[in-house]
Amino acid sequence: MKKLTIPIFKCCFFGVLLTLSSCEKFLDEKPNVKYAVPSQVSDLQALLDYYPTMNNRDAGSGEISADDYFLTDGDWEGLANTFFQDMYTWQPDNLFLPSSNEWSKLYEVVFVANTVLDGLEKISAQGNNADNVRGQALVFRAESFLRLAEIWTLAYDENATSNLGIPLRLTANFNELSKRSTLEQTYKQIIQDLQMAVALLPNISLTPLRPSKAAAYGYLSRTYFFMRDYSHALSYADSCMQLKADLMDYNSLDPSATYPFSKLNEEVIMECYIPAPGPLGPSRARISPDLLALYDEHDLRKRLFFKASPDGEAQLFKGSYEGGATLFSGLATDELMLIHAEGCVRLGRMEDGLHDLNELLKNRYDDTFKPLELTDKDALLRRIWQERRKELVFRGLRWPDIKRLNKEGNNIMLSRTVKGEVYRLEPNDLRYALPLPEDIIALSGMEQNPR
Amino acid sequence: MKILFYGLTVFCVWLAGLTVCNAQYKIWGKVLSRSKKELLSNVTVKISKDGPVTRTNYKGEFNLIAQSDSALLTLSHVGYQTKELSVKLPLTNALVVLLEEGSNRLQEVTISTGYQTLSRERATGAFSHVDEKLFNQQVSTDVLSRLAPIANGLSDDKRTGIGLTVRGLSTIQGIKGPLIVVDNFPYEGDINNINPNDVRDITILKDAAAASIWGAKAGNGVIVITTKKGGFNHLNRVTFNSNFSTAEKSDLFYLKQMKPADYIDYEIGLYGNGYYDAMIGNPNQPALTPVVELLAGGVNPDAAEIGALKNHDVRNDFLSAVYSRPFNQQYALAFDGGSERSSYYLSAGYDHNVDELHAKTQRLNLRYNYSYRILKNLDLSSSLYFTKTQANSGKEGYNSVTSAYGNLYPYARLADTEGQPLSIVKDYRMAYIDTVGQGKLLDWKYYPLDNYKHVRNTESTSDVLLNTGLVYRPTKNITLQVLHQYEQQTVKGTLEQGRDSYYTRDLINLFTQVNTGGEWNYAIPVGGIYDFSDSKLSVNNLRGQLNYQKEWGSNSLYALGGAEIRDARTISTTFRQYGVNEEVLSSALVDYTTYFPTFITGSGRYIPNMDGLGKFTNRFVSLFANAAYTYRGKYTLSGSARRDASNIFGVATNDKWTPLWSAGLSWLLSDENFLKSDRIDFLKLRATYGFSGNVDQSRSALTTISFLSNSIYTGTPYARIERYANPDLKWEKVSTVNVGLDFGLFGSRLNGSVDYYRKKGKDLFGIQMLDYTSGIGSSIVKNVAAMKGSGFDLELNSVNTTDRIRWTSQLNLSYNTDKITENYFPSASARNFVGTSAATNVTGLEGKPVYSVLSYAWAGLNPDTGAPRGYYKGQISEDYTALLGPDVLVDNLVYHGPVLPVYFGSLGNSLTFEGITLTAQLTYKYGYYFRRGSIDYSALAVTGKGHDDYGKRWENAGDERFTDIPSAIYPLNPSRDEFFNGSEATVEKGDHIRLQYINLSYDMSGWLARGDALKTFSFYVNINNVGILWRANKQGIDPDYGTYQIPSPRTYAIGFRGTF
Repeated sequence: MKKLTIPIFKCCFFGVLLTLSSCEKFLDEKPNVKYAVPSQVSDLQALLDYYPTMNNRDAGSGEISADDYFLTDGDWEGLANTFFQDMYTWQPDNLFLPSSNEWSKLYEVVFVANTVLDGLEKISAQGNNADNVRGQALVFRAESFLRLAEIWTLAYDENATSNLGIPLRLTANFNELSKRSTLEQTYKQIIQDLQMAVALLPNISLTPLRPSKAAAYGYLSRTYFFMRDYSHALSYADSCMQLKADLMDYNSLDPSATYPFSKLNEEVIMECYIPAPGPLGPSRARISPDLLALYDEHDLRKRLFFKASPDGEAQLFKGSYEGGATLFSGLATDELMLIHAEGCVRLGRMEDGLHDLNELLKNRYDDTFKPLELTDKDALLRRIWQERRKELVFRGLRWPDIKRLNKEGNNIMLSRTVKGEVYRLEPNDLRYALPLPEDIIALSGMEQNPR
Repeated sequence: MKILFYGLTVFCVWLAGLTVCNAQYKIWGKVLSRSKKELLSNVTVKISKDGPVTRTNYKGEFNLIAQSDSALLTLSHVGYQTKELSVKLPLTNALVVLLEEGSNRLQEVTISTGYQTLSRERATGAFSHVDEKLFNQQVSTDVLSRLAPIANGLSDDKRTGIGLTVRGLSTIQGIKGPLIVVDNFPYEGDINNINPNDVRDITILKDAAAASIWGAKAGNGVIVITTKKGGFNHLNRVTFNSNFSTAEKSDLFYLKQMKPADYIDYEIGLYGNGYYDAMIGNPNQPALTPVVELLAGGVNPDAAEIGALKNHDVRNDFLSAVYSRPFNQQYALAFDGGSERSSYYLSAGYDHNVDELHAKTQRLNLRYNYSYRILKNLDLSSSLYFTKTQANSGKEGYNSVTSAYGNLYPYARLADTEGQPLSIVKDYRMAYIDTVGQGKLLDWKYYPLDNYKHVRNTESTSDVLLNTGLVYRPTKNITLQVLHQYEQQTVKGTLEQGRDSYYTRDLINLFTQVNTGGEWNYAIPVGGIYDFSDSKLSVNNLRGQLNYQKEWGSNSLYALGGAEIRDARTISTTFRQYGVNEEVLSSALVDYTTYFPTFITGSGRYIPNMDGLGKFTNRFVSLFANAAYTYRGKYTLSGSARRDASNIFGVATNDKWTPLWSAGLSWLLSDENFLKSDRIDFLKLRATYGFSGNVDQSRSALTTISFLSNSIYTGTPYARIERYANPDLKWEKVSTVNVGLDFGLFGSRLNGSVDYYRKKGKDLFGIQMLDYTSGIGSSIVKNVAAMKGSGFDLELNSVNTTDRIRWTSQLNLSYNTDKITENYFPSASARNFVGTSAATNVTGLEGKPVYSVLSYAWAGLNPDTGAPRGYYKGQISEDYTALLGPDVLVDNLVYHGPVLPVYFGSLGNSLTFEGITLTAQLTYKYGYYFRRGSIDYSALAVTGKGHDDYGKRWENAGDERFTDIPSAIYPLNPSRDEFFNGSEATVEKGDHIRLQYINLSYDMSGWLARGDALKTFSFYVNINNVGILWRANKQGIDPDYGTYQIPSPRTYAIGFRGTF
């Protein structure tokens, strides 16, 4: 027996030692199978496909500051957040919750895009798939930069080289300190990203949640449009519409439905939304009477977009291309059509512009619609602005539009009354650039927007 | 019952396989004191060194079985000199032994570290030991809840969720609980699987020398649980224990719920201010409470309909219709014994608990332990521990019923006057669900008293723990050991939400589709919704160990070394079935990919998909060694070293290895001539220093993404970033210095120990604030922090009287403080450091404890408006945005003290008279603070969560003299509420003394066993959670539970146990 047991022990110890020597392999097992270090193009694509971060968290601070709605005193008081109350009345500072706010959410999209771009570099991925993913990341980054610029900087104009832009974070290294660029640099970066993306992306993507070449063209057009470079805006709108120009006929929609539009419908080029923040809640935001007055009785949009408030005293927004109460803020063909129209008119191609406008309105009015016959440039422009406001309501575009039009001399004066007190925002006021969250200024030492 | 039957069958099969013992001789007799000639009970009587042991009964009688024809008896007793006696067998008459009063060594305590057992004399480290007798003074289904009231240096915090800690905290962000070891290996399964009746003793390893053998997991201390085993040369024995317990109903009125009348008045006020207008018009039809619904329907606030609601408190409904007294039963039976070559231990335990909500838990434990001496120098041991637990859900209790805005309104009515269940508002307006659906929808109402009948939540756990060990002693000095442990735990959960459950009806209704043609379709088929979850844990441990022991001259050396590997993996699956027909158990398929318009608003939603898979693996490889050298039996030098590596993600192999070591010294002073005294029986000085670690397997050094199932939009997997790159990732390290003194004085009438320690934690995980423009949020966790802790533990056991009434006391007193020495916080904004009453967050402030209570300075209420006031830049201020803003810094806050007690411990006293023992155990905590929570008007409006303090609010000028509760205002101002709830006005002292339990036991061995010393019977009564004797706060708050948890109700148990 004794003779037998010694070999047993030798075997056991040998076994333990053997296992120890191969323990490197033993310890390489992942603690959680679902974890991965992004090392393949498909991993990076999966990150961009994480729609809760990438598509569903656009910023609504611009829309909150804009003039398409108003709040009753009761609803204003009922806002659970004093930051929203202050934003509504265009206070100069302290408009954002510390730590978690729209600034951090937009930069989270930028971080994911940068992680993907760095990742592609690291694995030196080549080929169509890698190009496609790189292009998508560039569009996500550019789109976020553009939204940031719309909210936190002044409108683009001849002072762009000296005005403050946004911090341009171009790598995923989170230890880097943020620095503000100039407005010129900001727009240049957006355009550069989008132009690069155009060359990399397929014409149309698998789903509008993923950026496509059409989306890159569309964002280029929108960017130039807000820079008031109408010829570039026109030509990129043209390129976009070559790839996608479907329009819905609103006559086919049911205005009695709670939400008459469906999500990801045929007009959507790129899908993202603003989760209706407090003041824009579906039963709070009452439509401004001046906007409402622009819709005539044959305009289908009046009943498709709006419904009466329970007290019957005002109209409320039903929601648009999200098929729900959140605010569609992506790209759709109607916006491109309107950019195209305005671009044509500004460049003197009056007939083309009028044609664009009539093409859109034909699908927005009931069958009594007669094509418009406007020959005066100013009258036509004014009509396009009107239709722009009516068509693109609550799409996050009104705020940058006011800024742009005021630079064109439109002299749009905003005013709000809360509990008998009147608040005004003069054209081109410095408050058109919202203050950066104060805690970010404290943490990074960046320059605050002047007041 | 089925599992009981199943268990008994297995048990019987085992019984049949029992080995029977050899020829035996009976030894019996009685023990008396020499001077007083009184019969001595509880004298330990032992045959040879490893032989059978027994204790005398209260008549001083004992009874033993010897295996050979001569025996050396050792008789020992506290307060008496140990006597050795050699007897020739067989005996013809009863032995009569007289014991001399006088000094004696400490009762021998063996300490188990999980790697070795050693006597207290040889140990240099700080251990605390809980024996079976003390452990069994309490009645419970689980093991751990019994420890905090009796063990030294251990504290349990229920309110904060920090839980059980040994000597306070050693980490800031890491895992805070100690490592739990059951029979040599860390226990990965649910610790509630272990039956307390199977526990022999528990050792708590407190300092580095004690714990560092456990390396990277021992930073928070180690609790070593040793289960009962049979012994060689032991008489066959049967042990049983059975008890029944019940408790008072939970005191719902302890909770500071707002008074119904106040709540209604507040709702009327909000309505008048137009607060509900937006909800009334909302197309989502959000729920409105009955009062708001009445007001919206045009009812006058003074109407009798509303007035009638004010007198009804929903807690009375719960107490009468939902809660009942729990009833728990516990049965345990064990057989053990052993011959020269083999020993066995066989036990079965069955627990059957029905709680106050009628939730039922059954647990069956079966245990089999067998050791066989294959050769004189080769032992094989194996054990099997099987646990099966079945838990079923009960009724819906007060805290689980939610309603409009989230919290249940206090005037809700659960039943009508006949006791029939009523519906309450849940997710949508009553007015809406009453009328909608043309009879095509399922009933959309929620009946809290009835719903549980349609919901069955069961969890069934089975656990198998298999131990195999070979011990081989090739020479006198060397022992080789191979131990293997395999554990497999499967947990199967089923949540059956029947067709008539609210959840199911609601989901089916929401997904009901009406076509343009007026056709009604159910996207979710009408039927039950069943969720299944299945998780399987399997753990393999293999350890090879060599022990070396040598004594020469005045020297002795004990050493051990070895290696172990460990692999723990969990595989889990969850899935859901829709449209379950409960009669034939068929289910239906649903379309997860279509974006369905939901019924109420038409907004799109996907049908919830609950299917998922997971696989987790934790692996460790460790090398360890430990040695102790003793010179002249007095001077001991010890050391240990260990290296651990784990599969922590993304760390280069070289960095996975962490070396940890410890060293210690001890000096047995009582053996020195200069200290020889009648009064000093034992005196030992100890000093140790060493390191242990803290590993968190969930951290990663690389940017890690985590995959989710397929995206509904792309049909491919999508992923989010789970962990951000952290190239400097390391394990946390804790160093401990410990100096201690063990003593036994006055003939061992007073013994105990005192230890002083200092701990230093470095490379601790700490939060680093970030410029969140970087896009990864406002903070990141890195190995950037350090802390230190210090304290003392005092343990005193005394025998106060030994006459007819034997009075013993046991005192545990611990002092512990911790202080953060390094924690990076670029933002000193005060708001980051003020906690709330609901959650306890790490404050992390340098120079202060890990968990500190800090408040906004309080300037009282404004005498004109009742508004709370603070200080902004030295001036009294009501600008709440500024008070919470970045200009108010942490230095402006008031520091109250730590969240965890600084002094804590227990005091137990036992009186024994004629076999009756009465024990009362006090516990106390001192020197800490908590935030009690008060009215938050914004939360009240938004979530419906009120607080009784509403009734004490400032209403008229002058009220500020006797209240600190601010006035109610509209518009709501969340900053004002946040300021007040974070101010000095809502902090309380936690100090309290509690009578934890009273135990009365009656030893009936005398008349039941008819003098047979081997037979014992006792009957016991236990009252647990007796109550608080003194507390510092005047609000009636139990600081162990806070404001939002109901304190554990007082429990009453009766039981009997015995051996024959």
